[in-house]
Amino acid sequence: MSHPVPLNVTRGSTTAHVTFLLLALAALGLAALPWISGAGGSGRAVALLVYILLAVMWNALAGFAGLVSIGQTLFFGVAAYVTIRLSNAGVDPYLAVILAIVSGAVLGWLTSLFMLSLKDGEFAIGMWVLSSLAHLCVNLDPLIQGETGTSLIALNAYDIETRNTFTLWVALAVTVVILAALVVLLRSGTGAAITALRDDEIGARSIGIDVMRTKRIVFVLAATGTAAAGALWLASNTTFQPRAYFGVHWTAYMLFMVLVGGLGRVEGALIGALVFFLIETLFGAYGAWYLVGLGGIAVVCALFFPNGLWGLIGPKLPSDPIPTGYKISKIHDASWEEI
Amino acid sequence: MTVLSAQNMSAAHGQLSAVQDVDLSLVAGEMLFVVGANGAGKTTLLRSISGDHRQSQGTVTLSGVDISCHPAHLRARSGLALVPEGRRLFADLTVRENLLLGASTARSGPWSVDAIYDRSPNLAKLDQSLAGKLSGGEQQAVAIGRALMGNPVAIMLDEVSLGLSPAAVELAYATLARVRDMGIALLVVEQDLNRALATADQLVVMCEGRVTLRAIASETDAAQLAAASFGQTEGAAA
Amino acid sequence: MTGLILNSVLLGGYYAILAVGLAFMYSVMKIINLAHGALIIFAAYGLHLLGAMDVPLYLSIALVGALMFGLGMGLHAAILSRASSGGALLPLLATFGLSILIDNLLFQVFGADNRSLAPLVGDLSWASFELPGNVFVGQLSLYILLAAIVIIAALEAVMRFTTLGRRIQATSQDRATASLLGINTARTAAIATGIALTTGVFAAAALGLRSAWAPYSGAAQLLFAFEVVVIGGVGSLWRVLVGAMVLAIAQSIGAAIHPQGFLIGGHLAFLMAVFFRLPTWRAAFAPIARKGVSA
Repeated sequence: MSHPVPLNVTRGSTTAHVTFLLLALAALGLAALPWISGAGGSGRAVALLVYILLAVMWNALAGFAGLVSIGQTLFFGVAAYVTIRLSNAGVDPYLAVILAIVSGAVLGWLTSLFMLSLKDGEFAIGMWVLSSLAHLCVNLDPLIQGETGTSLIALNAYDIETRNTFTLWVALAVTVVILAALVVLLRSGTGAAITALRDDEIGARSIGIDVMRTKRIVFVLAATGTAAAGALWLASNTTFQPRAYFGVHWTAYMLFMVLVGGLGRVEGALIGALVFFLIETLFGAYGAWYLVGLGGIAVVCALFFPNGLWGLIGPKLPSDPIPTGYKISKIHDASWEEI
Repeated sequence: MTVLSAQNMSAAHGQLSAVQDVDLSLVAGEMLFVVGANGAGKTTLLRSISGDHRQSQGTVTLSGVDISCHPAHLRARSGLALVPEGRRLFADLTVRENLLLGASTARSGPWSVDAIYDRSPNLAKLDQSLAGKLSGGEQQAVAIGRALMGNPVAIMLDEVSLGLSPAAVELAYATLARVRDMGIALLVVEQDLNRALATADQLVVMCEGRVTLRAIASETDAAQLAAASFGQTEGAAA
Repeated sequence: MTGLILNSVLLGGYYAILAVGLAFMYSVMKIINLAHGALIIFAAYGLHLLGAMDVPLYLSIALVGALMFGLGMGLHAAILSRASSGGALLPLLATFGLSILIDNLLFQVFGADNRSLAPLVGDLSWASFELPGNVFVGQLSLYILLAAIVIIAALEAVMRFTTLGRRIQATSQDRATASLLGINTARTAAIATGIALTTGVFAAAALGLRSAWAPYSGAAQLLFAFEVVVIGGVGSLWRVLVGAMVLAIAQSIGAAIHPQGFLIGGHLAFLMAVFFRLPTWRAAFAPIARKGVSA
């Protein structure tokens, strides 16, 4: 053996430290929002967090595991329904939210047992069928009264200020925990498998990665995060009409956010959610035209900018803002090479 | 008169250069063999000439017309056929359907399914068989027939004897000899040096993407070809 | 009982028309066109518009059919050829984006009202034949079933007996070799997409004549069509007819069990088809089954 070249293996960087600092500041800012903007701002802040959860989770599914699902509304809607049901049974609404997130994880695991065997388009619409089935079954519940829906009445036990503030804090905590879980997962051994899977599924299989297990982990996490989004959306809006939760427009939003932000990157999904939040705030009132625009932009991004906005921003930064891989350098060499 | 000529052909797979500065030219009824080791760039050369792979530089002319900028299907319609490695028949279609697809070049000429069946009565018996169920030799016969159906002026064949029984190889080359006698130029890639020596008019040896030897078949021998295919002989012997 | 089966078979005829374009595109281009339902609704508005201008229905079908064919060729050139070169995900993403765009454009242009083509054919929409045993069969449903059979037979014939059909099959099986034979594969694939979309005009006519639609009805039609394709399985287009019948029967059984069980029955049939089709599914459950036995 020749002399081993001294290597310096790192995964943090200045860019990453700055990013985490900014994200932490953003989280603190959101947490302090009730004192800054009063109760009105809290609802919008929860909406932003819900969009972030949906975008990051859908991106993990499509970008990392290569699974396009049109039916993630299954987890979104079922979690909201479970929250209603538990709360109706006397469980504290916020505890119900947490339990609904757990139920999303369980449902995700059960679903993964058979859905992951389906290929591409079959999986995509198969998930939609499941979501549609869940929607129909929820409609059968007398408590929900079909499309009439019901509300999370138990929240009325809290006065409106406390409720909004508390909902925001719960939403923030849940979002941070789930995003942290994703980053930790991506930095673990499984994360390397996920990255390999993203880059080349056949190659990943050939070097001995258990593709099915890796996909299942991503799928269950995505189900959990999407369920969290559904339960939080309910806690924030209080009304539950099945169509508003199982509707395919949510899939349109997820697709838009991920394609605009950039498929396969956590940073891209965050940017996509932020862009969507701004566009919705500015143009949401235009109704169908606004959705026409979303659909059109999604098509253009899919065809011409598959790396989305992140594809424009990312390469200009000195290193990864959210480092999930490693950087290897020779100790006396200034040139960095990422693997 | 030159039927097919390829000048300064270069081609790459991504960053990796596969063919560099290769020149070839064939007259009507001539048989040119390209030999060389695995990975010498023979297949890439044929695919670049046929338009299946984009050449990075070079000029392809067919019957005096520059077809370098044409996509594959227009090159085929100009009269250039390729019998690819492994034959690549449409496995789910019948022999007749495969042959009929060969006529997609829309060129006029002597060939029809009946004309093919007249020359190869064995194929006629397989008319309604699925191409995927045929033996290697039968598939090669269908593939050559399919190329002829397009009434080409030049046919390129990749790895003619690969995966065939010795009897099937004999049959394939007997067919090719008759095709040549009709005045069609043949560009053949072959691993078997002795076969190439026995059959070719001209020989070109490639190594690592370059031509290492050009020879008239009667003026060279297997040892020289083998040496050249490992890059040991520089320059031309003819 | 006889009535239930008979009506399921007739409803299956409608589902078959709905699914045949999706199945054709899937078998030929390996693309699941998520805008299939939205495009059918688009065609239905086209028929409605021409009907309002007193154009006879058969002529409207021909005109909108030609339009859909052109649209299909354009769709291939502008979106599908580009998307399918980028892997399996992009066609899904792009066609789903397209469906959102079409749905909402239709809503914006035509409003939320329900429309129907039934007035264009007068009595036909409720006329029926009486069979022995006091069983009534809707004439329109019967014609739709016949149309489904004719369309499938025609497509199968085109694929088997025409030069175009051979070229489409060659392009679908091995694009590179097809172009080496002189086939313009881009054009052939565009024509195949055009054919798939043209069948959509018959689905639109069937939908409009037997019931009504609104701008967002495309999603439901896509789901039905997709369930038919999965239940029937890939291969010959005749499987579409089988899948459609099974779906319709499952829905009818669901409806017989519970007033709102119609769609649920169909979804369950789809899931069962998925379960029983996949060996990997059995493998996934095998350990659990074994544990269950040993426990």
